[in-house]
Amino acid sequence: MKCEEVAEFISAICDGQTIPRGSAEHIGQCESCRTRLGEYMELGTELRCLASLESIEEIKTNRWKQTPRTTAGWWRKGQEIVRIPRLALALLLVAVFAVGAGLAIGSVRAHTPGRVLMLTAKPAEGHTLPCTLNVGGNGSCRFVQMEGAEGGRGVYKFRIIADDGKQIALGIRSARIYRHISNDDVDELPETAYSFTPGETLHIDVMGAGVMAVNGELWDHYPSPGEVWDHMQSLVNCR
Amino acid sequence: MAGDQELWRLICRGDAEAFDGFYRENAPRLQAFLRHIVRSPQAAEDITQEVFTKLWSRPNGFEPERGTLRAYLYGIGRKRAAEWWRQQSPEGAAAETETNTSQTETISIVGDVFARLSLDQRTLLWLREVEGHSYKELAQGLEIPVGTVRSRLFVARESLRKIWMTTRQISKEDE
Repeated sequence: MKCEEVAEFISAICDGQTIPRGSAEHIGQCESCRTRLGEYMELGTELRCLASLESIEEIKTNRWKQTPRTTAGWWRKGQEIVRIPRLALALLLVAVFAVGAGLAIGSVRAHTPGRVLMLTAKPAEGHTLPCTLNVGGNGSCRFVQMEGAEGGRGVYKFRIIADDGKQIALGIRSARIYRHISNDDVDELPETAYSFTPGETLHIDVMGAGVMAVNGELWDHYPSPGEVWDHMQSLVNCR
Repeated sequence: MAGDQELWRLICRGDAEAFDGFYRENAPRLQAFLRHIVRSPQAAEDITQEVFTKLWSRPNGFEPERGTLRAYLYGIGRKRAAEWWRQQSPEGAAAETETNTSQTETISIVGDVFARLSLDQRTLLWLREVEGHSYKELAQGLEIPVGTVRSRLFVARESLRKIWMTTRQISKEDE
């Protein structure tokens, strides 16, 4: 056995990987291979020393705190904190809403960004996939599932092709792929156009992965992550 | 990982306290990693902030069943660092390299050697040797098959070793 044939295994030893017996025997007996092993380990140690010597600075800024976050989470928190009868709270809110309705309607209309299709796709295997698409926009959702019990990954891409106000033409690419997947693979899948009515369930035969159920509702605003989460939870609870 | 799953659920629901804990635990290490990848302290700080801001404002894409939150975080950082690197003019990148090479020399010769590796090799070796990422985490963060991780680590280690040996040889001759 030549040293070059086992070189990759020397690197693997540094990572605590098990290697073939023949390679291990060669490395144990070969002066040159053991020198290389020592050098790899020394370099790893040097790198860790370098990282330790450089002080990990206190992070000066945390701009994420200045990023506005949606109110769904705070509403829930409020519900947990406020200890007044729910009926009273509901009446109070209705009263506040009624007083402010005129202004609120004007305000919402002025700032509504358009219709949004909130899709949820449930493949035959794996988790439900949430997808939010702006009607009239050119966005898309892309998913690659984790490897299933029988191998292969489900890959999906959804986009809106057209919309006539009642029905939506959905472009869906879907397949189960049994090899390494890159982003380009998803785009290379054939796209099928489906006529989709919000509120109804669309059943799609996914190449090699059974039937996927697609549901969707129209929203008047782009949902926050909290709202998407709540929506997903409500679907689970309904089943 | 159950802990990651719960943390991700809280982040998705907008729990600022949970996100702050996640930020404090991971931001300094991510920034240190990025400093060695982009070789610009300012850019490393900016990218770190950008990664966390994006994660907070639009938390999506992480699938707990596919890997760890840490690997996902570093994966985002790596992609953003690669984008930043591509946007730099060759002159700017060279100047940046030169400046930081002289800084790292005072700490260790290995820093200088490490800086000469390709961006992908620096990423892989730092995450493995310093951050201790598993092969699975590396595969997740770098979007490559687990089987490829071993061979790429070998190539990166061998490149580092060769540059290191050449540098040591030159140093000895200078003495």
